[in-house]
Amino acid sequence: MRSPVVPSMLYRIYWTGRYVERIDLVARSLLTLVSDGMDEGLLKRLAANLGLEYLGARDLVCRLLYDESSPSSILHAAKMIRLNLHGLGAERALREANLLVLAAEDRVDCSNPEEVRKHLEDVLFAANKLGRIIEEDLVAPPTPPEHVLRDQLLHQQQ
Amino acid sequence: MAVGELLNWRNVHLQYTDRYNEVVDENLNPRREYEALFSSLASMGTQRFSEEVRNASTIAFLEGFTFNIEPGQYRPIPMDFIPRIITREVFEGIARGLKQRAYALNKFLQDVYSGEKTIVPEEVIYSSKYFYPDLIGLQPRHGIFIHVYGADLLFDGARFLVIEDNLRVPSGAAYQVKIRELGERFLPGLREEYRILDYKPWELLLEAMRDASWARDPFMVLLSDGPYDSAYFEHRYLAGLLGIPLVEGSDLRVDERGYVVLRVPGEGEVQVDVIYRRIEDLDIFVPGLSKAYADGKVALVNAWGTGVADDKLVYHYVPSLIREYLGEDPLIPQPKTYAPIDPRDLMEITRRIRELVVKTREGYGGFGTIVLPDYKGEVLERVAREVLDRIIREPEHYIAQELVKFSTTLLHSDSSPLLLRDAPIDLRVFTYYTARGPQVPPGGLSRYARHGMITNNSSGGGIKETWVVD
Repeated sequence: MRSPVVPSMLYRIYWTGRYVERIDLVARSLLTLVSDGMDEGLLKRLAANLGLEYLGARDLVCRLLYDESSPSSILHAAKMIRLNLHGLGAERALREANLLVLAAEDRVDCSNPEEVRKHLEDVLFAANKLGRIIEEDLVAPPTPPEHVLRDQLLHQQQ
Repeated sequence: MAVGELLNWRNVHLQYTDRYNEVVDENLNPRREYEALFSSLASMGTQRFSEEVRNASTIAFLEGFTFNIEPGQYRPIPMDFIPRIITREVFEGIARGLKQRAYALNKFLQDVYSGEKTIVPEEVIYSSKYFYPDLIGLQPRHGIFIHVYGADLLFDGARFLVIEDNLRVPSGAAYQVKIRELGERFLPGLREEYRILDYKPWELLLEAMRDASWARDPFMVLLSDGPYDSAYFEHRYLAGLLGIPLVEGSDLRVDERGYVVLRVPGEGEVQVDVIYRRIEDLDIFVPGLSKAYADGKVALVNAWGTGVADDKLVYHYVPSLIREYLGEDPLIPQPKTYAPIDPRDLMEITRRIRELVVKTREGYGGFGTIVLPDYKGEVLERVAREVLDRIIREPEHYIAQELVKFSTTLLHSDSSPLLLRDAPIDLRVFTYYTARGPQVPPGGLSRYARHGMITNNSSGGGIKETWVVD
């Protein structure tokens, strides 16, 4: 008998998805700001939207990348994803989550826009790959066997 | 590279020269069981061995093979890929001894919870924090309390000794399965010259779980306290091997009829017949679970209340329990143990405290263990004084044991797998109590100390493969 999906498992899948989205959101917002030359007014607005105190551009970027105590940081979200996936027994997804953590942990100079941009692109790449694997392995309906697909096609053609 | 070149004094650093090394003799010649291993290692080449060890370690990290000392940490479990080799003959001796011990401990629990007198003094039983008087009169199916028993053994160069009985929620079987899987995947060449007996403890665990239930085709789950548990990897991995759902307290509830049910979103509720619990505090995680168990509406593996036999003061009496219940001498010895509640033992402890190992009564995982001979000079005097004060103040909370100079093994160094060093090693062997009696799968978890003498994983110890070979 296949093990049923229990509430704690669904809870983890839900939070994993939310954290992947959070990384995507924070990384893309920062990328836009980095591309726009780190405009201070926009950085202040981003800090306010995330409920963070603005103490300078470098400080904000560093906190958003690495502050593990802040739910807004990418590293915090990456580690939470790993914690949740650890409980799901999905080895491929956990492997990708570990690669995401490694990417998020990579230290760069937070005042160097080029380094920050490169770092964010690496994180986004890892997060997107993980998102795809989560969808394939955990939430997407199973692909029907080939003969079923063939029958469906025949049915549609008739 | 020849074996001799591999095992020369430049490559091997022995620190514990006063102890028996299981892998090499005093001239660094491999012992008989290890000869073929070192030949394979030499023909494989240390360079390739080193690469494969790195590959295996990376994959283990990525796949979540962890033992987290702090909650929420993600810490790969330290591993060593030079296996520990035990002959079938030696292991069969261990298995016979552990079956005897499992039988006596289980019989002791049957007596405790049927209100019978035992040779263990009543004050020891009643003062145990794991004794539940509410359970008196309740006997689980087949009278089996200890479905899973993890015995910790040391080898002193001549014989194995049991130093601890773990009867509540012993962990480690899956760690051995996983490291074996990694060894087979990355270093298959090392095992070519050996016939290694299969180690599939989950098959016996499944049998023990089925035998625990009154239901014909029981619905079974593994109950964990979640990813913050240090052994969570094992919970998840074992649930997969057993083919049963891994659940947390919030997934279960006790319904109006007093039965335990699992909530399955979109499908309703399923009645649970057997819970393999990896938690101690039942009602904190599932309110009403202890009552459901006491009412016979769910079976627990291990049964509730087994902790009273896991108590280190009871350990002191195990040889006597074996003689009492089986009329036999123990097949596996244990180090001489002193119970400070006995005035004669207390005198001996006072006289020889500096030579002994002191353990707190309910300690586990290496916590609460003080190895006095590890200290020297003034520090030893201070520690001895403090420990003795505590023992005199609360004698019922401690035991003292003779120090066992237990064996060492060879490890590849963390910095370079080409360098070998020695480290103390123990062995945890699992016994599964089924309706056929206690069963011991051939193998176990070999744990080595990375610093000092404590080998427990929760104290930072590492693991090795254990091969039982023909």
